[in-house]
Amino acid sequence: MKVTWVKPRYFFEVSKVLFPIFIGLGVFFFAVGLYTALLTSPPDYQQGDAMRIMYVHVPASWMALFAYALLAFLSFFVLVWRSPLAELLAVSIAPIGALFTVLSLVTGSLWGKPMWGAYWVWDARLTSVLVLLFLYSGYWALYKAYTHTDQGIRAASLLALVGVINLPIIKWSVNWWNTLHQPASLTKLSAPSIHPSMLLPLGLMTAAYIFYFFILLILRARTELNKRKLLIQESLT
Amino acid sequence: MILRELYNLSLHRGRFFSIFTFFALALFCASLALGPNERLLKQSAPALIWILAILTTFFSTPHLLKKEAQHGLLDEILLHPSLASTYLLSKVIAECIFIGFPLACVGLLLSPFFSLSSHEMLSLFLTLLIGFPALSALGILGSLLTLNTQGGGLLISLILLPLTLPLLIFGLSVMDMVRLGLDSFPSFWLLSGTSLFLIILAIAAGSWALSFATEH
Repeated sequence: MKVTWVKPRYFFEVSKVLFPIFIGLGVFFFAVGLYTALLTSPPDYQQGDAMRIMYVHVPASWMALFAYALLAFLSFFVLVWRSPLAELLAVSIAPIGALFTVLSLVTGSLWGKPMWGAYWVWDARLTSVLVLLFLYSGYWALYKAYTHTDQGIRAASLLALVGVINLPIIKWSVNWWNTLHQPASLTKLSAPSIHPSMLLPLGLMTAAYIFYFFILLILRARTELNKRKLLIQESLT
Repeated sequence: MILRELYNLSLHRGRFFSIFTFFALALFCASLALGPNERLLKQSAPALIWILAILTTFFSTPHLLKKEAQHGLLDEILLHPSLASTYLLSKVIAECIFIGFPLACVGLLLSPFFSLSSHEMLSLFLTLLIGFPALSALGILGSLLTLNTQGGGLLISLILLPLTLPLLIFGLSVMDMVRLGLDSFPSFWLLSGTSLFLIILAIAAGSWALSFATEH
């Protein structure tokens, strides 16, 4: 299983080339995406201009889930092959994923206030995203609780893997539980198919978020690697 | 192996007293804080009892496991030819007999605080009994994961509480069904299924965690 691309050094050489490209594409997609989302796309016939929050909210939620899936995938590599690169990337992903989760929750509640009349509703989607945030924070707390990072990362990786199996359960069970308490579901996300004029800015914003995610990931992974190099140098001298 | 675990647990009889007293006292405080409103108490009783049972389990398991780890027992388990998961499973069973069953009994004894009917009391007792093995297995997984840290019970609750949510939801939906006089069997089976699934998951992950919990 010794493949060159799993070596951290190779990754960082590739990332050096990709990093400026990602920044360029990220800025481009953010500019075009925000322009089309905020100015040229039509307002919703029921929700008016408030639905424009959707363009920053929905990609954030997607990225939060994507980051957790990636984290679990890398955790598997950490546990089975003890890949140093997977370790670096997993540690870097966790706070970014938590950031997107917070972003999704905050923008969602800002939208919920005018639409549902409350910042927080005990809805299946909201609750499961909040649980996602707790899973991220549990991962981080467990990783930080160890004095040796190599022990901490493996304990945290195991937790991330257990958590990913739990995620769909939470999603369905809360839904089921909610229908017991409240007769009408408040989920508005299952709306009929979306018009292309709204889908385009959404796609552009998603692309922008993806590049933003990878920019942050490369930056954080570089910082983490340099921090570890410094620690090793300190311990040698 | 179960007998050995039972014997091990019986050596820590002093701790059991504090575990059950904590549970009873916390329930007492909660019911006192809610006030004498009978309908409110009746509605919130299952939720309170469940949450406190979860917390009590998570606070009590790490101490017992930490002692065994200090005595080098975990290394021996790894060297032993039998599976590590057998050891974990016997631990879960022993904890169910020594902590889970009495905890459910304490919950049952204290239910007059909350003016529950006998039918509700019985179903609460049963849901606690079904849910406890999963809680105990999760608690063991958590204490293995945090064995080499300083965090203790607080850290365990932080990492495991999101995982207990399905149990909490199904356990309480059983109680809701019973309170409303509806058919509670579907939620009952869902609770049992979730509990079994969590036990298997926690033990599988726990035997993996065991291998790196023993590294110093």
